[in-house]
Amino acid sequence: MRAFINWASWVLEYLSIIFLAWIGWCLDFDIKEAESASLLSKAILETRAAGPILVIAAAISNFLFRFLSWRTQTKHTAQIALDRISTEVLDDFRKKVFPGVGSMKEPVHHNRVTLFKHFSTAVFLPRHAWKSTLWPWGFWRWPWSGWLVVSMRSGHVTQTATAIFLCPDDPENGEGVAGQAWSRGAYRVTGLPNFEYAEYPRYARWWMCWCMELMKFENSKVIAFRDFKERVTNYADSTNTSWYCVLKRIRSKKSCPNDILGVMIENSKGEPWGVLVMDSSNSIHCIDSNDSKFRSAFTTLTRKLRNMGAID
Amino acid sequence: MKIIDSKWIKVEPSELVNDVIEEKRNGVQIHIGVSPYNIPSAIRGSYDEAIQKFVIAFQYLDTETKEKTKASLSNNLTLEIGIHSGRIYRVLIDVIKLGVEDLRLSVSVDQIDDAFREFSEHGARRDTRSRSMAPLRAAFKQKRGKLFPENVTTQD
Repeated sequence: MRAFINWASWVLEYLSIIFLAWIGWCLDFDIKEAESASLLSKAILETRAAGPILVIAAAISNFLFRFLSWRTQTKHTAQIALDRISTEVLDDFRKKVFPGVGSMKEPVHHNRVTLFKHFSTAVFLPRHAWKSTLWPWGFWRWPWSGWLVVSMRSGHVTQTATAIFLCPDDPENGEGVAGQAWSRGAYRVTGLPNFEYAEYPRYARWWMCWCMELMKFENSKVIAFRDFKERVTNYADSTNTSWYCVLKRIRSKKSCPNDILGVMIENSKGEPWGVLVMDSSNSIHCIDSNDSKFRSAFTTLTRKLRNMGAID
Repeated sequence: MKIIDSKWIKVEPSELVNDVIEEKRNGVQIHIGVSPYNIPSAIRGSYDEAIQKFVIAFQYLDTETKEKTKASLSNNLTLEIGIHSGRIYRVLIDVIKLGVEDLRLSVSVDQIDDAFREFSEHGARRDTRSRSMAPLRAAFKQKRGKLFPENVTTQD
C-alpha cells in the first residue's frame, strides 16, 4: 500500500508539472489561431480563462504530491543491506558490553543498543513525540532546537522505533538519557523503578483514585495508586522525560529499562555526531564506559560504522 | 643525537575518572561521566630533536584525521589541540641544554599542570571543558614521575 501511494504520488507530481507546462503554453498561444471550433481550441480557451487559478492549483498539487512521495518513500536495496550489516555490528557490540547476554534466554529487546543521530533541525516530528498539540516542538522550542533521532538499533525487534529526543544548546534541558549524554559525554541512570508487573489504571479508576486521594481517603487501592504515581514521577525525573511519556510506555505494555547508559559518539573529524544508548530491562547491565572492555568494543564499533559510512 | 628513547605509558581509564554521582529517590543513581574519547589511554614524554623541544604526548581512543592547531600559552609552553574536539594532543616545552645530553625544562611541572587548568577554564563552555580535561590532568599527575627521564631536570 505504501509503495502504491509512493508510486501514485510520484506520477501525479509529474502530471502536475506537465499540466503547468500546458497552462504556460496556452497562455502564450496566439489567440487568433484558436478561433476554429476544434476541441483543442476549446481546451486552450478554457485554460486561458481559468489560467491564474489553474497555475496556483497545479503548483500546490505539485508541492503536496512531492511531500507525499517523500513521506512514503521506501528504502533502496543497498540501504536495506547496509542497515542489516550495521545492525549486526551493533549486535556484536551488544554481546561484548552486556556480559552473558548471549547465553541467557532473555528477550532481545531487554538489552538493546541504539544509535541516535543528531540533527540540528527536525521539522516533522512523529505524533507520539509531540510536546504539545498546538506546537509539536514544545514550549519555547523550535524545529532548529537540536534533536536526536534513532538511526539504528540492535536485534530484529523494536526496529520501527521513531524516538526523538530534544537536545538543545542549554545542556540542562536535554531530554532523556540520550539528550544528557549528548551534552555531558557519558550519562548513566541505574536502579530505575521496575514496571514489569505494573498494572496501568484505566481512566475511570484513575479519576476515582485521584478524587479519593484528594479527599484524604485511605484504602489499598489509593495506596497502590499513590505508589504507582510516585514511581512514575521518579522514573520521569531520573530519565529527564515527561511523566506522560512514561505512562504511555506502561499503558502500551512496553518495557521500561531499569538501567540506561548513554555515550556521545564522534565522527572521523572528532566532531560530536550522535549518541549510543545501552539500556537493559533485566538484571544484565551494560559494563561501565570507563572499563577497558567497553572502550575496546566501542573503538571497534565506531571504526566499523565509519568505514561503512553509517557515521559520516 | 638521540637523547631519549621513550615508550608509551599506558594509563588505566577507570583510575582517571571519578563520575559525579547524584542520588535520587528510592535508590536511583545518576552517574555523570566523561566521554570515552576524552580519556587518554597512554602518555609519553620525549625529546624531539627536530624542534628542540620536550614533548608530552597523549594518546586517545580515537585519533583525529584532520590537522591539529597550536595554542601557545607562554614563550616556553605550546599546546597542540584538536581543531574539532578541543582535546590536547601534545605539549611542547622549551628546554635548556645543560651539557651534551642533559636537559632542563624551562618551566616547572606545576606550571604545566597550571597551563592545563588555565586552558580548561578559558573561553566558552568552561564547565564542560573543565570536566572533560580532568582525566588528562589526572593522567599527567599520575605518570609525571615516569615522563621525565634522568637526563631531564625538572623544576618541581
